[in-house]
Amino acid sequence: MKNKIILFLIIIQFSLLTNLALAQNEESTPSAETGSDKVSTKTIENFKEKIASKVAELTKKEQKALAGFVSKIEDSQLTIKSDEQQNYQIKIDNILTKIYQIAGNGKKEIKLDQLAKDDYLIVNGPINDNTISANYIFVDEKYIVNVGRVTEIDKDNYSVKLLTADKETINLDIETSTKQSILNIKTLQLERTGFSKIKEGDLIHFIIKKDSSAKNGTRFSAVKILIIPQEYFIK
Amino acid sequence: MKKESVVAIVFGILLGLMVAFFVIFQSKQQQLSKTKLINNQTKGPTSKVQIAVATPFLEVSFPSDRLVLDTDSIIIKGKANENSLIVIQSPIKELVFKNESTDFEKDFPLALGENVIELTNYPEDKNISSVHKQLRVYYLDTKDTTE
Repeated sequence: MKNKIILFLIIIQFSLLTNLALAQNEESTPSAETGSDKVSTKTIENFKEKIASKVAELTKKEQKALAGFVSKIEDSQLTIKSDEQQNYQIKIDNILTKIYQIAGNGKKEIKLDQLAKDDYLIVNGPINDNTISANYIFVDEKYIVNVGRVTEIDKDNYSVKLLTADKETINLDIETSTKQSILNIKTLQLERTGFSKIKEGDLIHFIIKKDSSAKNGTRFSAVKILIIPQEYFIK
Repeated sequence: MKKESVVAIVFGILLGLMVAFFVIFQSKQQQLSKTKLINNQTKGPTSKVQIAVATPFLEVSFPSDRLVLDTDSIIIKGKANENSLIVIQSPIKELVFKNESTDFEKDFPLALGENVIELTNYPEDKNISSVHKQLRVYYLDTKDTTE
């Protein structure tokens, strides 16, 4: 019995020693390499520096902006609420921050006191958590671009009811000013069209202007519509 | 020490050596199999592409969401199913085209301020549902000339 125990212990000891030796070997390999390859270490360092400078350059290039409706104005600090219902504090420097009103494809510089609650702002500047130190503020209009399937047509009031992919119902008023186009399913070209061409089951890509007063509403005037006839999907 | 004990120790050492060689052999094989996995990664994407062809997809590599630019147009670069109908729409422009190869590149104008750009992929197979992607790109002209 004793012999068997001794034999067992010897086997275990050898296995453990072998594993230890293997582990030490694996750990010691990198240090041996770094010692013998100083030139390649220098090349790696240079490479790292180049990557770091490139990343810094790209970060500078890839500037991001935030947008939202003004929910609060206090002295030189504004609060905006983004589409994701997130509040952001906007810090304004009276000398550095430039504020512009966008009108058409031009802009006009305005003063801080010309900003009002419910204005839609685009803010550019360093972001720290939920605070933005604004370099530039642009007052713009908020547009919604979406797609929905026609579920109802109201020919008397020139309006259509749409169901979007998010199962949201939108009542779209087609005004005389609404730019309407339709996809020619044979040529795949866009053509001008009118309200009478809209059918139940068609898909409509629409653009609406969203002001703060209509934020929770479901009725909007269409700025533009693009109709994809249902025949396109069954041809 | 008894003769039996000595024999047992010798056998023990021999067995230990055998186990040691076995462990070394096994660990080397494991390392080799790991290396093979890394080398085999080149084969990976082809199988992924095969899956992607069957499912609708729409990827936009440029521009990224909320990007700020100082130019009044961009080149939208992306990937979608071959032969699918792509619709790109913003408040100032709508573009419809058949995606003849997987990759697409389209010049697209920007309005001053926020540009909400909706991209839709209608796959050739009409039974497959469409894919939508929305981007917000900001053309902010910060030059001091007031108009």
